[in-house]
Amino acid sequence: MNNKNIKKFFINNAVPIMFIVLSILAIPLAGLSGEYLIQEMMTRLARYLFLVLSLLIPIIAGMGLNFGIVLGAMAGQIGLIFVTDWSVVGLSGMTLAIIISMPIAIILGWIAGVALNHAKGREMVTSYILGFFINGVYQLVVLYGMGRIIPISSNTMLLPRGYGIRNAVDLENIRGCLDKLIPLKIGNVNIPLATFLLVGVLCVFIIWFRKTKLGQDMRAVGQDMEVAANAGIPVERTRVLSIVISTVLACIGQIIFLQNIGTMNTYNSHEQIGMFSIAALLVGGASVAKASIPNAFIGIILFHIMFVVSPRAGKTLVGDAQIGEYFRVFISYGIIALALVLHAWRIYKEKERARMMFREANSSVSSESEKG
Amino acid sequence: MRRWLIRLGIVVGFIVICFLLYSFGKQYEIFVDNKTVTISETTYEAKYAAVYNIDDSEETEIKLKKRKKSYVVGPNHVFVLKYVDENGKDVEIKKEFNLSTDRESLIVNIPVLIEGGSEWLIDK
Repeated sequence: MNNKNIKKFFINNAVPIMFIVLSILAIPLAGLSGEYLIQEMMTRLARYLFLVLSLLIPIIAGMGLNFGIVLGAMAGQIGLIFVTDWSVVGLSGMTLAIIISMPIAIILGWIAGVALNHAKGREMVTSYILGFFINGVYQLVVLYGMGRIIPISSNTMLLPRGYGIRNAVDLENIRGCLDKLIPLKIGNVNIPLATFLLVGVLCVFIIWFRKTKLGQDMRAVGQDMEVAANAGIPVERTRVLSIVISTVLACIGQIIFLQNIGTMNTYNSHEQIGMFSIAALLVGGASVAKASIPNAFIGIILFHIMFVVSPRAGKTLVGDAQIGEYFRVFISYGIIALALVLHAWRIYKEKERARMMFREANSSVSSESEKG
Repeated sequence: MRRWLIRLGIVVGFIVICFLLYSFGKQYEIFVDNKTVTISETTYEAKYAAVYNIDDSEETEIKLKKRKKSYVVGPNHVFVLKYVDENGKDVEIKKEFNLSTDRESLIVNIPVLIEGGSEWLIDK
């Protein structure tokens, strides 16, 4: 490996390297046992993997990081509200929630896809703002529609005024139903095997999907929309489909996430999902234009190690756990900013290099013609 | 036309799956009462402390004049009641029952069950 390659490696992997260094420094300071850390990572991998993996398909289609996965999350939560009201428990309840919320996720994904087609080149910020807009609609439906227009029979779920869902919904009916479906314990570490199997199925689906005609179309659209259109690929339809698939996967991911947590914060649970999932993917070494399955795994482990160890490390260093937490929040959002800046910088550099090559080629052609 | 039929079939399939998931995954609240009760002008007196289980779950002891709460999932269940009668003889009563999805909370009246009454399982 020459110096240029080493420099390139460090630039390309600046974010994960920074996180690995921070983790190496923070883990001994936190003083947590290895077993505890492994258990935490297992739980958090099971909790977040599906959501983070749902971001991959829009990246293939060149639509960047889909902040709009919160739309899918909201759809998932609506499904969970219904199954909790109907007292459908266990895996049946979870599956029913997925089936109920899927059409809502498809509609929301389609709306997002169409909107993003009108904002080509600004997909990320558009999907981010779209999340806020649909959040308003979601709150209107859940806070005023449910119990009034949409029948909700359980009084424990409704606000005392008789309509609107309470701020916290106890998901006791589906708590851990997937995580505990196939119990596996290695040492003192519980492994949610069924959840990992489901994530494995999604990974196989993503790998298979990339090889399909639609997957290849998405890759072509992601590389160059004009070339793809000239090749006969329906660019806009392909882009909409990528967002629909991502939203549906996020909807399932949010249901898996909430069955792991066991409580749903009706008006807030979905809000941070986009930011956390994207931060985790970026920490894993992904970029706005390129992401893979290993990026999701590495990212969740590194990002959540910081979650677990930073309060304890902060307490050891400065005597206050809150300082460590502030530090983690600062790092998390800083990472997104850094990744976006690096992406813009890489694009700028590539354009500059292409321009230089074009000039060199032009000058050599003109000097040859002068000689001739 | 064929494509639309396939799509319609998928939608119908999903609706059927939803119905099955709902009926097999619905949870019901069962209150088990061991109290003297009057139903249709007939009084059934609570006489024995008993032990019961539903669907081979763990046995639960219920004393006289007490109420216990259990949960069951799905439409078909078996209620088993064990008690010792006044002659010191062990008695076991086994009853199978089905629940429709329009029911939410039910009461099992042990004295009615022991006396052989038909309304041993009523809506709360």
